[in-house]
Amino acid sequence: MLLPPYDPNLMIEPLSDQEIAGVPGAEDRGCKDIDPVIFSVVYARLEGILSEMTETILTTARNPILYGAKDFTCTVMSPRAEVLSMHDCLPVHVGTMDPALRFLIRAFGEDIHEGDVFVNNAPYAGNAHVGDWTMFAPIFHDGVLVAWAANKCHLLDMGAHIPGSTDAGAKDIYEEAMHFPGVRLCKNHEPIKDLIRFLGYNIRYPEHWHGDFLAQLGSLWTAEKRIKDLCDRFSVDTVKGCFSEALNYGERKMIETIKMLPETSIEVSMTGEVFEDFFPDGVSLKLKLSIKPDEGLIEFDYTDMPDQKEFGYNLTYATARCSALQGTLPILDPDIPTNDGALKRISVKLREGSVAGIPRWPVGTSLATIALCDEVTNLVLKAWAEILPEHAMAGMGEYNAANFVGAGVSEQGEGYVHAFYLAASGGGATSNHDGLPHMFGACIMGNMGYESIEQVEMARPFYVREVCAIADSGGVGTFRGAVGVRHRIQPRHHVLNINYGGSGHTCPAFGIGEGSAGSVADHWVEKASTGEKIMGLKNSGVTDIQADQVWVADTGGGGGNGDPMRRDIDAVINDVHDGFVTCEAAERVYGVSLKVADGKYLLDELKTKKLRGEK
Amino acid sequence: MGYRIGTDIGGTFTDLSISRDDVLIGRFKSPTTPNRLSEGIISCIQLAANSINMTMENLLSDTDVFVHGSTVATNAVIEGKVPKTGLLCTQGTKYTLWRGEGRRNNVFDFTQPSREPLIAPRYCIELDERINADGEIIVPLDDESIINSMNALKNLGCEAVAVALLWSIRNDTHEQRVSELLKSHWPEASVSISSQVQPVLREYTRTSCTVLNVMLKPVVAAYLGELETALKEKKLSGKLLVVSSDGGIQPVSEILQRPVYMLFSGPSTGPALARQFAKEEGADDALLIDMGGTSFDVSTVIGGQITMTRDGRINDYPTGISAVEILTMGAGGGSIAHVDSGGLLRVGPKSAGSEPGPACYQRGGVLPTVTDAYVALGYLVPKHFLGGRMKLSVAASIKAIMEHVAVPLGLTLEAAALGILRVVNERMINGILEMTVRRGIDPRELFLVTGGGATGVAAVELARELGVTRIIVPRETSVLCALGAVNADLKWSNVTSMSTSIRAFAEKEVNDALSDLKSKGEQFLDLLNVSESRRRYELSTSARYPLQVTELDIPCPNSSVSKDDLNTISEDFHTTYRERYSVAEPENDVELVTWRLTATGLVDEAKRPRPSIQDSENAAGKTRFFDTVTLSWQEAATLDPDRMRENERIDGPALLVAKDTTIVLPTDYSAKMARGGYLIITPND
Repeated sequence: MLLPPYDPNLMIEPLSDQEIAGVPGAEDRGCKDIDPVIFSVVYARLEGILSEMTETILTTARNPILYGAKDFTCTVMSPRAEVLSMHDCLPVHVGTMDPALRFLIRAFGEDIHEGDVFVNNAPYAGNAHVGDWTMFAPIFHDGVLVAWAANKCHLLDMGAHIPGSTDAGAKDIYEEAMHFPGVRLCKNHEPIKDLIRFLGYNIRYPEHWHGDFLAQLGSLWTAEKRIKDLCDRFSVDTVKGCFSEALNYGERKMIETIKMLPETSIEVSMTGEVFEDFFPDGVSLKLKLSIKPDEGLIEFDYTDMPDQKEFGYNLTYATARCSALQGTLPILDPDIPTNDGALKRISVKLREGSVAGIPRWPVGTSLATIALCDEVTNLVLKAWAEILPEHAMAGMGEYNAANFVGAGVSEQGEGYVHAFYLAASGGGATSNHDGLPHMFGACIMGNMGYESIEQVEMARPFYVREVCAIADSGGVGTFRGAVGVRHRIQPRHHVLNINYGGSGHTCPAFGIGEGSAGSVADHWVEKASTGEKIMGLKNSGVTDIQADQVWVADTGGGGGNGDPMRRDIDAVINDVHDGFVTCEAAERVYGVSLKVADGKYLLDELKTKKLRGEK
Repeated sequence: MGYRIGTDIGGTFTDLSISRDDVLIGRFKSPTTPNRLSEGIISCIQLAANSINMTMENLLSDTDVFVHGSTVATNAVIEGKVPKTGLLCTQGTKYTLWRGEGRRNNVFDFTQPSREPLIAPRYCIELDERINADGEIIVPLDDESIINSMNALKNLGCEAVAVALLWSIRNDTHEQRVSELLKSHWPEASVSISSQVQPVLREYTRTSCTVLNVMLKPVVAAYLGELETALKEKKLSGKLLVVSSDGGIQPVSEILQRPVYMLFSGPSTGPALARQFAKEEGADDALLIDMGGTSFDVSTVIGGQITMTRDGRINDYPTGISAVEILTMGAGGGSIAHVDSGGLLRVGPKSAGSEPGPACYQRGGVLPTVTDAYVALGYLVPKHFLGGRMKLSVAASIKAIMEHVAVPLGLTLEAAALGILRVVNERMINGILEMTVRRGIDPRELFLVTGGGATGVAAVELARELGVTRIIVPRETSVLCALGAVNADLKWSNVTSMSTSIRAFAEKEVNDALSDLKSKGEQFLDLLNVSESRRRYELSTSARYPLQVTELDIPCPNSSVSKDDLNTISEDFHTTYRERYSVAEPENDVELVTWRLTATGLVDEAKRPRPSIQDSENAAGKTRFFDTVTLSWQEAATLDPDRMRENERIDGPALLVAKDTTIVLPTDYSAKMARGGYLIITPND
């Protein structure tokens, strides 16, 4: 019997032929001699199938976290648990599908059949964090295993002692709610009724959850149908051959890219977020990055990261590895496919029992996909900025405060739980352009849907009083870090209970060269009638917002790049007009002096020249 | 019955098709006149009138319907030739357009700067007002703040104002009040309010559509006003109708209210014809390529369905309106070739248009274009071009190519001209791949149908590269969209929101709303004198399970809804849902959210003329062109497709020269005139 603590190798080690031999056809890699046009068509069809899987969840889900924010990723994987393609993904889902499926395949062995659907949300069994409910369906054609369809959806609630699935205070898995370390949910394409009854009993707002569960099933079965069609059209042998070729193609592209990089090895460090009870002086993060162009390898070493603590911020195996991947891919050729053929050229050495490594059973990891994972990713970006200054990107602002979970009971007596996605953080500037806004942090890099104010107000009893850009929040530079965004939310005639656990409240996104860091994230409570600030809030905790109060949350701005005195003057004037930079900062930081006339800002050329030291 | 005229304005040529008693009787082409577009249309009508020995006035006074398609709205947005536009919005929402909707799906690509919002935050001014989700006013609007905001926009130089307030779809009194004050205090400004233009939930799409609508208002009003005046002067008796984004047609009065529906007008009528041609060949799938002077359009028909989108987007700005999906790229006969500083040969996207035009037109253009390359390689023969009506100078083409491409690259004339073709073809192939292979459709399985005057030269080379073996070139290829305009049905549709459910069906309220809607549809068809037998009303409802926010469109059996109809709708929903999403909940209730009524006035498709029955021998001639297979000059036969008999076959190398288009047949291809009056081109085995 497989009982915890599990051997981490059950999720880490690649699957051998022998381990998958029990399932018919699993070992077969398909036809080797593939027509390049057919390969292009099948590869494109695969991406089309992923889009259809995504669309199915977007259009049929019942919770705004899925249909609005799109906090999920769909993919198709090989019988060896390799991701074939993951375009349109969330960055923090990269590298978190394969360990969860490897564990599951090892746990079930030959007991994997057509019509089965499995779930794995257990970090100690390879998943990212408890809230990421990852479902897998094997796809058979004429009795032969062709591939696996998978989707990872962030569920709003997992039945913990407080609503939501991201409790910063949960010190171990028992406080995080239910873990399913690879469990069968369906047989013969039918949900197993007693298990669904059990889930419906334990998860808050079961009707919403059940609808989301059907959306996930629909997405998997749509992929199954489409891949079977593909096999009918091109033969299983050809389709499998194309899938294998997709991995080869990814690996070839990655090796080619790495060959062009300099051979080097560097160590970088930074002081991350302050956690009063655990890291009163801030987490000291440290990593080593080595590039081996001849071998086509990028190697990270995280073994110097501090020890794990009894809180929810510890990374999991999947997300610790992901932080290196998601911090590296933005720097490399954007055409490299996000698949396991390419990603196996990046290795990450992790230490057991570390805060950013392989956590030691049963410590809590409920925030493993955000918070510290974003900060470690920023450190990875910083390492790359030193190695490849021309491709460098400054740090990405963190968004956590604005993302937290609120729950309450409306005046009509309806209970709800909601995750907020109204305000996103700013991205870091590159050496060519300003940082991109609307990032939501490194874990998302802009690929989440902003909630519509009207949609939020229709689904939940809130007034969204404001969503706006925060002036001067982007790090200054020749290229400016993107500004953060603020939301102001007032509960409608009831008490809104927010529970939050973020970072980036003390540790801003780094700037490059003479560029400065972005602003930090923050949140507080105001009196609705006067706008008077009545209570500051920390990076983690639980707070009631009364009906006459407003919860204000600021996301962090991105880091700037280069000397702000050399920023294009017109760009500064536009920034002031649009409210991204204040008139005062334009003069003080950018050396651009402006006068106001008729609601327009006009340049004081003489003073500007003087401020900028020009003749 | 009188005449029916369809016209389509492209960047370079203005096209016209004309039918009488549902028989196509002519097709014409005239250079587009960018400064006064109506002039090009008038000269085209003159050509049509001449051909049937009538005066233009007599022809137009005997014309029942004049249908017009034009990319004027699309181009105005793309080129930014729209008035400076401001937005009045709810307190706390001025960053709505800047925020957009998130969802940047190329997550790891940071090579491009951030996208510009449709209008910058500085032109978005907040009004101190608020309506809640139930439609209750919680912060009343005061007139003074409206006037102050209005003045602020005036100071910023705005000429058009969009008004998009939160929850105006539940309660439009604030938007209406702002609109009234704008009309009385700032009558010169164009104004659109979101509750009228696009009454849908979600402020971003609604605001974006309203802003696009208001910025197009003056553009479209000026354009259609000028056209209407010009046609009235020439005694047009019938109705002027405009092709809309979904390929249907609408009266000018409707388009002026919602000019956003004129986006994608023009090419939107093409796919229906491509479907028709493929069907005559027994196929359900077609790939339509349309190369004009300025742009190259790609659209598809898959499984007999025209590929449509529910949210037509321009520069990725959403409109939420349904549109034919067309990929447009800046590559055409007028695309200019140049050698960049790194020695790379580039073609387009800059176009010489019709003025100054390609060098060979000798209208002031001196830079080499794709058309010049065609001329230099012998594909366009001056004496045949537009029936000899337009003079082409071979020497001017050669000079331009030599000077700007051949000499800088050290190439022969032929190699340079061929280089221009290869580069522009590669760009067009990328567009085709985007609409096919990148969506998992194998282009080799499709019929390639051509539209546009310049497509016949490139079609075979493009097909060869793509591996497509069946090409249909209609004799009307040069005026395909104008022919589409003649054939398009009259279409009006409108939506009413009346949320109810199968289990708690609000029978009276829904049917009252529907009868209102139907009477509006009737008015539309009355206005256009559509006879009873040609009227069709189709009702559909958007349905979903409780707690969902996206619906499926389900057709209703009748234009009102009875209890019996509900069973049909409900069963249809569960079945469609399972087909689409692989799961269903037949035991669950179904919410019915909106109701769309489409009133259609059917138009009989104009019968295209059958192949000639006369002997074509007389028409045959000889020419020389540079063959892409043997890479040498070849003697080639010339033949006029309009004079080819049914089943007549011609082998390459040959030039098929009609009065308005030329088709190049290299040595390894042949063409056959099909019974339906179009050419089928296939490779020789």
